Amino acid sequence: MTIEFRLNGSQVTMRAEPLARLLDVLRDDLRLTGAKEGCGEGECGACAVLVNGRIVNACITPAAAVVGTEVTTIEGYRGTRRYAVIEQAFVDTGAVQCGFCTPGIVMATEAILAEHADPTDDEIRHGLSGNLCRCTGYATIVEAVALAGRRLRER
Amino acid sequence: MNGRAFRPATLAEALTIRGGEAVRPVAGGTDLMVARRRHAPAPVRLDAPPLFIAHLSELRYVRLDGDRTAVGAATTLHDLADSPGIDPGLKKAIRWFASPAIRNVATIGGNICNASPAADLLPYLVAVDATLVLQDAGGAREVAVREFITGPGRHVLTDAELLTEVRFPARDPVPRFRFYRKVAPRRSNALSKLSLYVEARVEPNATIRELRMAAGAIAPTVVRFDEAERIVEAQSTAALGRLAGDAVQACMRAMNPIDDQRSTAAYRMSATCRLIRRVLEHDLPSWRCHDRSDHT
Ligand SMILES: Cc1cc2nc3c(=O)[nH]c(=O)nc-3n(C[C@H](O)[C@H](O)[C@H](O)COP(=O)(O)OP(=O)(O)OC[C@H]3O[C@@H](n4cnc5c(N)ncnc54)[C@H](O)[C@@H]3O)c2cc1C
Ligand code: FES
Ligand code: FES
Repeated sequence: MTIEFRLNGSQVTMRAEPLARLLDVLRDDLRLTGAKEGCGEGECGACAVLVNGRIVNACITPAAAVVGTEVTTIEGYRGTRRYAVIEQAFVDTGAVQCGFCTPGIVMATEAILAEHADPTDDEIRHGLSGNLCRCTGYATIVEAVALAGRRLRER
Repeated sequence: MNGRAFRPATLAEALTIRGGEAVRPVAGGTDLMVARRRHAPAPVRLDAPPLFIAHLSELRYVRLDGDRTAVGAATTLHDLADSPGIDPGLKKAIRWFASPAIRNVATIGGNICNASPAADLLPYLVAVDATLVLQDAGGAREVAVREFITGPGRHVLTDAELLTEVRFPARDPVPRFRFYRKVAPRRSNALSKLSLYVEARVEPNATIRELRMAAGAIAPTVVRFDEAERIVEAQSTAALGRLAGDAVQACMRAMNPIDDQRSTAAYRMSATCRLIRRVLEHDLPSWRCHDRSDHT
């Protein structure tokens, strides 16, 4: 079927299998490889993107589900000023090691900070609960989200 | 492109399609996209062409209707948790559900129609005697959620029907004891080894009223502990120490757990019994109505 949606601010019209995974549409058809495939079952968050501003796992999203929506991937998000603040916070706290989980975790960070400008530790952990990281042990990531929130509030 | 698919503009159109040929309703797709996945990047293959319904605004609402709450079947768990009229007992269950990314797309209707004995919303819905509106192109019928689910993954929906609405009691202004606990390997994105929902009203003189208990993953369908409820109903919290043993025995008779990849029958039985005993002997008698914990 023909699917139309907005992707990182631009209109996209393309043909896709209605049950194709959004992740494959992004990575294979549109060559946006920022979203990663970890588990392919909705459990790890490596493939997370924003659909209408809400965090969603692209590996279990059928292409037909994004018709008429606004999809933001890490490639689009990295052009924003909020991204620059989040990136620096991740660097400053050492929250990135191999980086495989990072695009998804950055999208989750945006979702957390959009909902709670000044998140509690519990809100941060809850917001990250769908993202697995096999390297960092999470403490530095929680710190990075809190730091990014603080810097965004100070601006 | 070989796959046929339907993305109707209205509910009426969806019901006409559903009545006309074999289709597979797809709401959030969080169960279907995992269960029917093939090797990436091959598209998921269903048993029939998909009928997408999650975008239908006619199926996405939370309406307060006197003392009932009516929820559209394609309402996401995120939107449910966000609605002020939703009972704190249901919100508790949603807190234990998957992760934010899943809750943004998973629907209440999908959780019910998937009919998993481990589904997190079902113990609550069974405990409060929720009813379901099943609609086809010709009309609607209402069935109790307990009658709807007949076995693991099985329910009474005909091939022409969609689940359109879920009805349950509106948020009760009288404070209630509410408890939901899920035993699973981790806090997020894990299906239950077992789950337990309990609610009750405690009168100022410590009399227990409207005790409702249901548990998941300990039988082919979610189980309501009617017999145990009757043992405790109208008793004083002071008597719970004495009654808990009988109540737990009654619960055991209603359980029929199995061994599977998530747990064993023996563990499920003993952990559920311990949890029920703890709730009856400790959590319920020590609960005070000014306790705010049921509003989280
Ligand atoms: C990573 C992950 C974690 C999860 N964690 C949990 C958890 O913690 N607790 C839990 O309970 N579940 C969990 N699940 C399972 C799943 O998310 C839920 O069961 C969810 O509520 C299903 O809703 P859906 O809209 O996505 O269903 P779908 O996948 O769209 O549909 C499920 C089934 O219901 C049918 N259906 C859906 N809507 C209707 C309707 N209106 N009328 C008729 N038939 C319909 C479909 O045909 C299909 O058979 C998890 C899933 C994943 C992938
Ligand atoms: S790859 Fe999508 S959640 Fe793991
Ligand atoms: S940094 Fe390696 S998985 Fe998170």
